[in-house]
Amino acid sequence: MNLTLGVLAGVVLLLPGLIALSAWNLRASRSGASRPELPLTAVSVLVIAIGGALVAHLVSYFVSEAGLRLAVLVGDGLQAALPALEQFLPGRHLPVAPANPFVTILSAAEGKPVSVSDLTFVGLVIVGEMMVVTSIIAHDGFDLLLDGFDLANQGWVYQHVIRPSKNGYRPIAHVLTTTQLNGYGIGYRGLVADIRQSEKGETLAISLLDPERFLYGVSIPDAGAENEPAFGRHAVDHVGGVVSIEAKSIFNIVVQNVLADLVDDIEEEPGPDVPDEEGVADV
Amino acid sequence: MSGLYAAEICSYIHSVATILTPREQSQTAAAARKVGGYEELLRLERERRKIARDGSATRVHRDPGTGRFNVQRG
Repeated sequence: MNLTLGVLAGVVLLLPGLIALSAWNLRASRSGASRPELPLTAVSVLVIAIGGALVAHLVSYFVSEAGLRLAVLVGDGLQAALPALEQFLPGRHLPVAPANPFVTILSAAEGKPVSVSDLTFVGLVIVGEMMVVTSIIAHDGFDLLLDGFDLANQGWVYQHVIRPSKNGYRPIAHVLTTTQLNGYGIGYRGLVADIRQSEKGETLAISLLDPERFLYGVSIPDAGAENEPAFGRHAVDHVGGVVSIEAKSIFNIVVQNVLADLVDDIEEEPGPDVPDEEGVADV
Repeated sequence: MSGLYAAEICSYIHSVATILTPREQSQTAAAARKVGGYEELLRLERERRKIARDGSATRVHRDPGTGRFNVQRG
């Protein structure tokens, strides 16, 4: 096998592992708290791709072997039990079972000739492996399996935003901004719609849905007064829509979670007739 | 491609780049507006946790006199 074909075959053999990585990256972007994807050149990523491909090939070797043996047994049984088959299919025979795809791959690597049907079977098996790998990673059960593992290394965002939101909670954030005027600052409070993080885990931006805006300030008592300095919040107003706040404007973020069942109960309880606010899409 | 496989991929693609689904987002925002804002929603959550701590079931109730929501044992 020449170098070009060798590289091509190597990539094809690694495809299940590479597809698993792509599906994982797509799944991470689903969380809405994204970080840059790991480069494919990272050693750990290559190890995962190779490991995933090896496991997929190992499993499909045994599945293919079992399937082919079963097919041969059924074929032999049909020919033995139905001698009249020849009457209906004169001169024809049941098709020959293809070789195990991994035997075909080894034969090709040794330079032995392989048939087109065997090569086609190899392609089908690899496509099947990719579909199964993608299904497993896309499945909600995969979330349950990895619940509690911060594999994307998202830190507090994983523990206080992503994980609660996957387990029946709704994250609500208070964001104090760096905008200050005469001792007062501007803050926002709303449902976390999206968070972006840098490679180092720093927060790049946060988006809040249907937010409220408020003024905040710290009251410093006069000298000699008994009361202590206190944080004060003033003049809350409903903004609506979505507000996206970038890192340079974020002073700090506080996240609190509300149980989704509570939200359901509120929805069912009759309330005052409040018209829908503009900017919040009804889905 | 089997129907099961297609359904899994479609549901996966549908919710790309959101922490919560659009429906969950609008439902939570509507609940906050209904009770009078996020501060009230968080107050209800604190009440719920306090009651649920001893294993009691909870339910949301709106006082028709004051119009204020609160959480009760139920």
